Amino acid sequence: MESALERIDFDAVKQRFDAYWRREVPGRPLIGITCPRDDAKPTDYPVPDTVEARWTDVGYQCDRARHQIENTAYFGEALPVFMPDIGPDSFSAFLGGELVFLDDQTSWVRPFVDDLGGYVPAFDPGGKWWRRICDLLDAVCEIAKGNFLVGIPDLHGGGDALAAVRHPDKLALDLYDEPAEVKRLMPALTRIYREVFEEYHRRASRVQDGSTTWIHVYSRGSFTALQNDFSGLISPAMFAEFFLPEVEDLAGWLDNSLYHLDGPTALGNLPWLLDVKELDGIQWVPGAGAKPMSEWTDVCAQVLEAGKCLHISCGAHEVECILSVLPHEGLFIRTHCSTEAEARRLLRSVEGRFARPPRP
Amino acid sequence: MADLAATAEALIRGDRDTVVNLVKQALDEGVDAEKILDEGLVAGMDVVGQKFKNNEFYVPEVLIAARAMNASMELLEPALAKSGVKPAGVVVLGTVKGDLHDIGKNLVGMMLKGGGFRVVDAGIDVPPERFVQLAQDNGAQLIGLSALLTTTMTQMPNVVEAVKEAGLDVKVMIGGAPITQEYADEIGADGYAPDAASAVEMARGLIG
Repeated sequence: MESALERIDFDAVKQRFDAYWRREVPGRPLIGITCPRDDAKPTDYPVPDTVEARWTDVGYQCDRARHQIENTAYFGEALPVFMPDIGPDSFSAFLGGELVFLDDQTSWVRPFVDDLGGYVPAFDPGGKWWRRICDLLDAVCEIAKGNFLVGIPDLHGGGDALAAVRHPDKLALDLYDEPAEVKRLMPALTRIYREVFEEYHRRASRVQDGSTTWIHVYSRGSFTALQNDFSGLISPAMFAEFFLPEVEDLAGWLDNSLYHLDGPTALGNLPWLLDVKELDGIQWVPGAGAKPMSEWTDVCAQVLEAGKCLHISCGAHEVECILSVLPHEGLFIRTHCSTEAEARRLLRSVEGRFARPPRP
Repeated sequence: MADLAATAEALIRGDRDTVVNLVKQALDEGVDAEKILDEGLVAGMDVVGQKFKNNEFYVPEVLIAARAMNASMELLEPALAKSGVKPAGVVVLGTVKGDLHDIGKNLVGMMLKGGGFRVVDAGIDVPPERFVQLAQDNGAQLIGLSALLTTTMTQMPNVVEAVKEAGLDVKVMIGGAPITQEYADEIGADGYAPDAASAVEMARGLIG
C-alpha cells in the first residue's frame, strides 16, 4: 500500500508533537485536519456476516485499516492511525469477562463479580479475548509498518473495569458499602493495566517508534489515554478518594498521558486532574447532545492556563474562532473537512492568521 | 412518637436502618400509611431529586436513598394496599432497542418509585412492540424511553408510532444524554426530562 506516513512528512509532524508536549507553539498552532481523498474509492472488500466477526476477523480488520488509510487525506498534524479494537470493555474481558457484541458500534462485558470482597483480579494471557486482540494487533502491525501508525488499543482500567465487572450501579453502592474493598482492588487493577499496556506497546514497537492511540496524538515514548467514564456518575470527592491515585500512578509511569474527560458530569473532576503534576494534559469531550466546542472555551482555557496540554475536536467552522480566544501553547485541535480543497483552505488560513515566529 | 420529618432526613442520608425503624414505629403507632409515604418517603426522595439536579448529590447518593426507600416500602406496601391507596401512576420504563445503557433508566425508575409511581421496568434493548405490550398489560399511563447514543435515539419515534398504531391512551416521555426538547417535539413525544428529578415532575404533569 502507499505509505501515508510519507504523505504527511512524519519527521516534521513528530517535531511538532515534541513541541506540543513542551507546551510550545511550533510556528503555528497544532491542528490535525482529515477529509476524504478526492480520489477516494468505495469499499471493495468482503464484509463478514456476523457481528462478532466484523469486530474480530483479522482479514476484515486489515482490509478496513487499508481502506481507511488509503482513502483519507491528512493535513497539518493529522496522523494516519488505525487502532485494533474490540470495545471499551476489552480490559474487563481480559480479567475473565465474556464480551458480547450487540452491533458494529457496541460491545460490552456482562458483569461477573458478585462478591467484591472475594474478588481477586487476574489477567490471563492465555484468555480468548486477549489472544484475539493480540492477533488483531499483530496483523495490523504487519501491514502498518512504514505505512501508517498502529494505535495502542483502547484501555479502560481501574474504575471503568470495576464498573464493568460489577455493574455501575453496584459499584456506586460499593463506594459507600465496601470502600476498603474498592481501595484494595484499584492498585491490583493498575498493575494489570501496566502489564497490558506494556504488551501492547511492545508489539506495536516492533513496527514503529513512539506511540499513539484512539486519541491521535503522537509521542516518541509511551503514551495512551487515561480515562474513567464511571467517574461522571460520582462526586469529585469520591473520584479523588478512589480513582485519582490510579491517574497519578499511570501518568507518572507513562512518558506522556492525556486524560479523556468525557461530558459535563465529569467536569467537577477537572480541578483534581489539573493538580496531577505528572499528567501532561486533558482531552475534553463535551459529549453527545452538548453545546459545540466553541462554547466550551472557558473549560479549554482553564486547562491551558493550568499549564496542561489540551486536545479537542471541533467542527471545521469553529477552528478559527477557538484559536482566536485560546492560548496556543499546548493546544491541539482536530477537525474534519468534506473535501481536500476545504482542508487546504483551512490550514492555509490557520497558517496565515495564527503563525508566529518560533522562539529563538 | 412518629417523626416523619426525621424519616425524610434519614432517607436523604441513605440511612436505611433508621428509615426502616422509623417507618415501622410510625405504622405501630397507627399513623396512616399514605401519610408516612407522602410526608416521609416521597418528601425525602423529592429532596434527593433536587439535590441530584443541583449537582449536590451524585448517583451513589441517589442509590443509597432509593435503597432505603425500597426497604421501607416492603413494610409500607401491605398497609397501603389495605387502605386502598393507589400509586401516583403506572409507568413502563426502558432503554430503547439497540441500547444497553441502563444507569440513567434505573435512576429515573428509582426516582419515580420515590415519587409514588408504580414502575414496570422493561429493561434494556427494548423493541417498540414490547413497550406497547407492557403498557397494555399493566394499564400504564406513561411510557418512559431512555437512550444514551445518537445512534439509538432514532428508535424513539418508532415507539411513539407504535403507541399511536396500537391506539393506546398512553403518554411518552423521553430522556438521555443526546436528547433535547427539540427532538422530543420533532418526534411527537409528550415530554422530555433532562434528568431523573425532572422526570418525576414531568410524569406528575403528564399523568395529572
